[in-house]
This record gives sequence, structure tokens and C-alpha cells, in this order.
Amino acid sequence: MIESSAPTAFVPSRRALFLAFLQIGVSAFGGALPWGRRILVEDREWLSERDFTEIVTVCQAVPGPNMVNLAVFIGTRYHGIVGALIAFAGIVGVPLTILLLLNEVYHAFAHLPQVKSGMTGMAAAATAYLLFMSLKMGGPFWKRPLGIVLCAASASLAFFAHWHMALVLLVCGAVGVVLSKRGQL
Amino acid sequence: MKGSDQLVDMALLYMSLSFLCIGGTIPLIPDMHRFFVDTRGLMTTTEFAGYIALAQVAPGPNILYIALFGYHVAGIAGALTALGAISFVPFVLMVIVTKMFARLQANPWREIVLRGLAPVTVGLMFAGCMLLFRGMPDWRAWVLAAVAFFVFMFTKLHPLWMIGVGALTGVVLGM
Repeated sequence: MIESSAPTAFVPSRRALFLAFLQIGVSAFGGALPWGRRILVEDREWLSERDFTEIVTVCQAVPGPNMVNLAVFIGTRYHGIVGALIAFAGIVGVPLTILLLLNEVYHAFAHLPQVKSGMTGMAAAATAYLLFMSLKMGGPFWKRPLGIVLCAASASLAFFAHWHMALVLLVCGAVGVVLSKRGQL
Repeated sequence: MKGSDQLVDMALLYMSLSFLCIGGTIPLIPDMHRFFVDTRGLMTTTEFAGYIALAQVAPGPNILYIALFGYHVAGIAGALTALGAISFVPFVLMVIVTKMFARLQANPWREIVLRGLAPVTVGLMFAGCMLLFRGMPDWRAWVLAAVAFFVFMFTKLHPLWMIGVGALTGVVLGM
């Protein structure tokens, strides 16, 4: 299935698979990918550095959150659909429980003005982080004038013209793919 | 509207959006905001932004705020429905992709399409951020966001510290 990788002979057990993704899930703060690399490549040595990068690029081309896609990929590779479910449960289960508990605590005190104020401040900083992450994600297109125009157009159509995402992706995405095919992005 | 109808509607929303979430779920924010805040009035923009922030300070993949929106609408059942609906299509697609990985890796169109879509997904992420900024109740929150942005941009400080400082600033200033 995968020609380039040497360590495919080794297959981690289902338990090990679950634990690895559990570890990624609970360690991941603000972006899980660096933790995925550390745990799968450096600690466990299931994948080579090159394997990891190539798998992540393919995960990015498929709809869905990259880290969840990666879990499904690795799970399927070693143990088929059951493996995918195990890895998915590993990466999502414990963090989801923690988050729901945190949410309960927040709502128990949400009526206090200090909690409301704190939440507003936290959301301001967290939104700034989202903005920063979107800038960083842009990659090479920031150096292309047409890329910047297309990005601004997509943002405006969604924000000012209230276009649905599907329409923005369809129209602007088509333009983007044409530009990209011509080497202008 | 009955709770079960809300669940079905939310599941349909996420199933349809899940086809589109290339590069993660942040570009979906404008559409989710429309559903939960504008059309249905299920929560305010402040609550909406609060859930996203809460998911960022907790560990885990950052799709989990989607579960919080679901939880807000219909408790645990809502959380699981939202998470299941957003994950189902990508899950199935990924299982298929894994089987044909080598072929996809060699296909030159993969790179072309990804490059072409990058400005659009980033544009949608911007639109989402703008919606969240617009919903902030207080001009001081804007200043705080600007300061935080420069800290992320120009220092190597772990984002969690700055988010913590943001919460503290909010309390001290009574935002």
C-alpha cells in the first residue's frame, strides 16, 4: 500500500493505537499537529518524518479537521475501520469529557459579572489567535497579488454579502483552481 | 420548535457543511453563526465566541467547540449529534483515501487544487473572525484583541498564556 516507508512491518496493537491518540488528544493545546508529530514520529517511531509530512498533506486535501483525519488514516492503515474508530475515540473522547465538564463549571458561575467579563476577555484573545492562525495558514499565496485579492473577495462575500460558504467555495474556489493551474497562486 | 427537530436540523447542517471543511472547521464559522445566532436565535454572538474560546483553552482537536454548540442546544445528545454529524463524511472519505493513498500522492491535481483553495479558506476564516469581533460587547475588547494579535505575531509566547491574560484583563476591567 505504501511503498516509501520502511517500518510498515511493525503494527501497533489496538490498545497502543488508542493510547497514542489519547495522548495526542490530551496534550494538544491550540493545534494538535505538532503533538501528532512528536508522539507518532519521535516517541513511538511509527512513521518516518517524511511519511508524516506526506500523510498530513493528503489529510489536508480531504474535508475534515486535519488531526481527526490523521487519526482515521493511521487507524485504518493498521487495523481497518475498527482501528479508525479506535483512533478517533482516542483523540476525541477524553478531551470532549474535559471540555463538557469545563463547560458545566463555566455555566455554574456564568451569572457572576466577573465570569462574564473574564469570558469576554478570553474570547477576545482567543479570536485574535484564530486570526493569527488564519494568517499563518495562508502560505505562499500571500506573495501573489491575485491570491490576496481572491482571499479578500472570499472574506467580503461571506461577511458583507452573507454568501453561504458552499457558494463562496464554489465560485471563488473555481477561480482559485484556474489561477493555480496557470501558476498564478 | 421541538428539541428533536432542532437536533435533526443541526445534524443536517453539519452533515452538509462537513463536505466543505477543507483545512479544518474554522472556515465554517460564518455558516454556523448564521444558523445558531442569526436564523435560529439559539445563542448570542458572545456565547458563540465564548464556546470557541472555551474549546481553545481545553485540550483536544479544535473541532470540539462544535460539540459545545450542540450541547447548548440539546445537552449530551446535542453534543454527540453535532460531533457525529460533522465527523461522519470525513471519516468515510478518509477510510477510502487511506486505501488509495499511493495514487493520490502521485496525482499532480492534489497540489493544484490545494493551492487554489487556500486563499478562499483563509478568506472564510477571516470572515468568521470579523463576525466574532463585530459581536464583542465593548471597545476595550477590540483593543485587547489587537494587543493579543501582536503578541501572537511577534513573540513566541505560548497562546494559552495570552488567552489567560485576556481573561484576567476582562475581569480587572469589568468588560
